[in-house]
Amino acid sequence: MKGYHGKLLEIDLTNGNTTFREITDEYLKHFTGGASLAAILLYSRLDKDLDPFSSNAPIIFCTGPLTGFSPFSGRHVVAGKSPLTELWGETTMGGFFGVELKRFGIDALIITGKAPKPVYLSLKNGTIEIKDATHLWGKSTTETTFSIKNEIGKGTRVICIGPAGEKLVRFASIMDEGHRAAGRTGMGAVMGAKNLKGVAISGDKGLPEVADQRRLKELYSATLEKISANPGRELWHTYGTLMYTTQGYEIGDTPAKYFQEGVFPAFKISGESMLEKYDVKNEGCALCPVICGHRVRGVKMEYESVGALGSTCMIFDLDALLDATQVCNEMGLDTISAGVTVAFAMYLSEKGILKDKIQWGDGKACVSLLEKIALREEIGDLFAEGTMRAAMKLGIPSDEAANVKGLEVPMHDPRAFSMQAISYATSVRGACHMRSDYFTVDIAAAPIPELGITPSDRFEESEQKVKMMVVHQNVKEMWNAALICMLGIFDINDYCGFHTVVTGIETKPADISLYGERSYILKRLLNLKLGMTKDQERLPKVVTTPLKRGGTGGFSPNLEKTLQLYYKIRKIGDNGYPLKEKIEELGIDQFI
Amino acid sequence: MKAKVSLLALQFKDFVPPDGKTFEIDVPCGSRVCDVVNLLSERLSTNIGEFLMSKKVVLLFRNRALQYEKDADLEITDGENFIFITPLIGG
Repeated sequence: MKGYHGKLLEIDLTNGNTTFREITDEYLKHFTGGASLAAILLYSRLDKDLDPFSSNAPIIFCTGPLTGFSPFSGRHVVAGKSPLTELWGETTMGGFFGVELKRFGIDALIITGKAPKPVYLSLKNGTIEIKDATHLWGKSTTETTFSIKNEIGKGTRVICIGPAGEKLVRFASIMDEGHRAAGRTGMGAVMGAKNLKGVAISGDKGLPEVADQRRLKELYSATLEKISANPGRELWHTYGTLMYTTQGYEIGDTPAKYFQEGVFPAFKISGESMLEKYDVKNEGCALCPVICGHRVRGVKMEYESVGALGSTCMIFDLDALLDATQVCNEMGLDTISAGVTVAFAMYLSEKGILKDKIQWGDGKACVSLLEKIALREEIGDLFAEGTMRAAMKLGIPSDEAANVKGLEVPMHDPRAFSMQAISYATSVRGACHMRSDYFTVDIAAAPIPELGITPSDRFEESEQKVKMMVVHQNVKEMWNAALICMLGIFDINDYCGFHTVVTGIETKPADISLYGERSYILKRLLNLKLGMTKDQERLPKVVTTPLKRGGTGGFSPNLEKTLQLYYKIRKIGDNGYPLKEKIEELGIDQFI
Repeated sequence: MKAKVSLLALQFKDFVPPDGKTFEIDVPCGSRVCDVVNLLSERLSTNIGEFLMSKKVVLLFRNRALQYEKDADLEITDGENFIFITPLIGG
């Protein structure tokens, strides 16, 4: 099929075997790419009893249909069974690796087995080598990246884990050139369990053929012109996601004090404060005409990190916040799960449940705990398990652990937007703000009027609103299959245009929703196979208890109501399974 | 009566200090949304209505993003919040 190589590479680290396999057109037509293709490729290999840290557990790196062909397409997905949720785990990252993977001549890379000693993979100019990484074990992500580049050559792109992945911290991340992170669901620990420190890649095969090269070139130029003319481009470039902190605060979207406080000095940790106080450098991903990434005092910063390690821990000292983020980036920890977990420790300390004193706002204590978590030392060993397991071990009610299905709640408070609450409850990977970032609709930042998704009262919980959320969730599923940057200035019509000229399949906005629905239902079936129950689709009280002050206005989402509407609209039965007619309608039954 | 205003849009950053973006203003009884917008426009010497019409800035009012062209004449009550944001998102 045009736009794809129709090929994947599988490497077994136990015996060093490498195999190229075909990905059929039928798979590509139905599941398109990215996280959706990853789910169908791994569907038969994952089950409830599989230990995510066992050598049998596969990990997949997958590209999308537009990877390398359109603006904002420099992303790839890493997926497998999550050690944090023990359900389907997927995490997408920007950077440069994805485009190189496609240039190497494959659409996906599957790694199985376990190397007898630490190794890294070198995929360069058609050769595949498993190289010794004993000397890199224990090194930070930046040191590892530099060392591998020195060994393999400068044109190489590198992803790697830090010490946290080696120590099997359940929310360990994978870093792309010390810059972008595949943070969520603990895929860094899956690499660590395989003794796999990193992957270096340099593609020389080039991108696959597209359906209409001339139209692609024209469309690319026209899209770049449109992006240049968009005033949002300059704002994104200057502030990136950091500009959201004060806005998020005012509407109650940015959490504080482990989701228990609505009033705090947000301006102290705002993007503007950072720009004013520090040297800030822009850093972008492949094929990005915006370049929204920011290194502040040399530390890669994003809004989610500011919220999780800043306000959620009541840390408003910028240097302390930057130090904490740096530890996460270098040790290879997901900043969201790490920040929420540290805040959980502070909460427990305040209650007198922990012997160790970790006080709100104590930046040094935060950094120290993060280091202990990454190395699984002392109390860090407990919190390296994440909030769900730490709560269970301490006998704390699950309602006090800020996670859904084990994945820590990100920095968009579910009391600020009713549909964000249901998005967290039903997302395919637990509390995730990128598998329907519905708040972007209600603040009129990214509505999708082509599919009837328009801004409305942010606390509304009507059937019509849930219907819009379901379609939005479908579109975001497709975005994670397509692997287009969600922050890109690239709307659904842009996507359809590129999908059409790259694959040759005429694509309309309604098709995007259909692709996304198929992806969502497939992953739901996979999660049910892995042991998920409907009871897990809930939010803990710590993130739903009404706040007495702040921008949420005392709102608490009525999940009981909206979930019933959601299941009805999605055609999900009492047992949590999609109805047979829905599975057949989407054509999933032919593949599983 | 009072209106609580939060000028958070990046386009207004040069007009308000980082820790003083939220403040109260006095408005006459019977004021409409556009009266608040005009009052602020005068104070900042910039046409906020134009920003709203072009959708470069969004006004969140009564928990929703206003469509200024349709909602400018909404009558307001004492103590209501006016949150001006740039419609860009956190990651």
